[in-house]
Amino acid sequence: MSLYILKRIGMTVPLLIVISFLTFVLNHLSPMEPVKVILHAQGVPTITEELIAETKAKLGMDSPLLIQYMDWLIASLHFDFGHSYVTGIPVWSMLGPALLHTLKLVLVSSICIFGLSIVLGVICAIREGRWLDLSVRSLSFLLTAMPAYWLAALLAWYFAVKLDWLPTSGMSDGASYVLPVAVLVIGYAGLYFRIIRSSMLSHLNEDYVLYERACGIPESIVTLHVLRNAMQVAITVFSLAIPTLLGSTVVVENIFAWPGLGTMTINAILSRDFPIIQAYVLVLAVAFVLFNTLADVIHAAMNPRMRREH
Amino acid sequence: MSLLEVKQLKVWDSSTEQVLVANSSFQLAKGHCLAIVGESGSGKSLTCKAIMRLNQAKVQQSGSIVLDGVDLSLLNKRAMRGYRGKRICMIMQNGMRAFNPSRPVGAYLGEVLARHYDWSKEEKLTRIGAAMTSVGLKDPASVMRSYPYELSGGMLQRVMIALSIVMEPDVIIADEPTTALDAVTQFEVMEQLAKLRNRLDCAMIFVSHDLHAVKRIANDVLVMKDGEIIERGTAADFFTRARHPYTRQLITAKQSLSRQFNQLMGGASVAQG
Repeated sequence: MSLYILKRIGMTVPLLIVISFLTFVLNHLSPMEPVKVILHAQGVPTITEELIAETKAKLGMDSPLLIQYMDWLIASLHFDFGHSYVTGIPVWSMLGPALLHTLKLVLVSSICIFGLSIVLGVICAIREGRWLDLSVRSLSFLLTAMPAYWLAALLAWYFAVKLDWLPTSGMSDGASYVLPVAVLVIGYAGLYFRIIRSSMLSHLNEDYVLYERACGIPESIVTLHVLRNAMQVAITVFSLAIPTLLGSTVVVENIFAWPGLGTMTINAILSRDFPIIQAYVLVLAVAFVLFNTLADVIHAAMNPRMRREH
Repeated sequence: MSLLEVKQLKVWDSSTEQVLVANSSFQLAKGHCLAIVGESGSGKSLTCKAIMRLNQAKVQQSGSIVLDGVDLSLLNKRAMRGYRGKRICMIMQNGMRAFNPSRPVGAYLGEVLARHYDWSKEEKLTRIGAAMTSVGLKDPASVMRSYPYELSGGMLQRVMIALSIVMEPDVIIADEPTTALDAVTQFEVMEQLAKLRNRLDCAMIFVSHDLHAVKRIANDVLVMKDGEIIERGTAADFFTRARHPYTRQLITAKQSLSRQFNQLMGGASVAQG
């Protein structure tokens, strides 16, 4: 098992190198020369050839691409992603806090999403075809079909403006979590509880469930056993949901003015602040790889066949 | 005096109102084996599950199922659970699919025993170990450590038989216990089932399409077709004096198959049984 984990982690190394290279080249794929972007961003009025050459030399951009990549990669490993073109502040000192804020939002949301999905999935599977199952499914269908920005506006209008229970925006105290988390949970839980439900249902029709019942095992324990097996599929999907959430908080963060990654990145994209965009893409890509690996490891740990064979 | 008496059992699908088993009545004496034969979809398994009240929620049933003077159809859920596994044991068709894939066999058996008996861990181990040895599982400790995928279908079938030995039920319901096995394992499992019946002196319901196996083990035979019992009688009568055309068709089909098999194998008496 530990060998399997090591192997699985080893496999991520080449993947991470490819990802980081692609992220790096991203900068150079832009229709504008990076140097010009920098000069534009710094608001230099007239860009001369001399100025370009000078800046290139200053930033080490006159060396071959591969050397530049190596320099960037080594710096990135020390969380040094360069300086923002616009503000001149080191990228990490902007990205770090923003990442932390987004992570807090994602963490709270994921816990709610998983908890709610498991509870609803199990209840709906047990009551398959009854009114409870049908009403939960139709309601979730309705809510999931709503675009996040519209749902966010709707909730903000009702709970923050009309009732004045919750803040409309910002990240001041616990109450400011409620609306952004609610929007994320409504968008995702509707999807994940269905995965749990259908996975539960396919297991409930298995022979082993009949045999457990025929041996006099109470229904609640049978349900727990089935849930454990049904979770094997769900864990993989859940683990991949976390990086997806990290990337998809953009809309919610912008609506509720959450000082997180999404808000920061939208600003960076609008002002073509490449080092920030690069760092953002790299962080998300690394998160995807990490959680994918984690999903595989958890899946292996839960499945006795995988556990014994590796 | 019969041990199990099923009276006017009717099973239907409440969503479509389709009757799946119509008005079936039969009884089973202690130490006897009743075989239920018939094609797929004839209601054999539904009848068995109805006795244990284990059909799906949308499948409903009426009629009385009296075991040793107690009408099971009137028991509450909790009391019914006490009967399942302890007084009525089921042996499933496919051993490979009858066990929770993510738990070791021993953990499962321990849990079932803990439901019905207050035995210490050691006592559970000794009893189940002895039962396993008696059904020909040579290394009970390693079987109990194993996950279901690490054992063969025949071994898991024996594990179920071993569990029923420990449970000492009044009735054993074996739902096509040999269908999923190869010929040699089938033979061994049949052997174990026959021994089990003699040893516990319990009643047995044996569901099968395998007339050969039926002939070996059953005292009485029920033939079901489309949810109805179309023929009943002793096993001896069944093979010689069947009245219903469907039963005769079943028997002739079996005989002509055996004949062909014998010719192919050079006239050996393998399939004569």
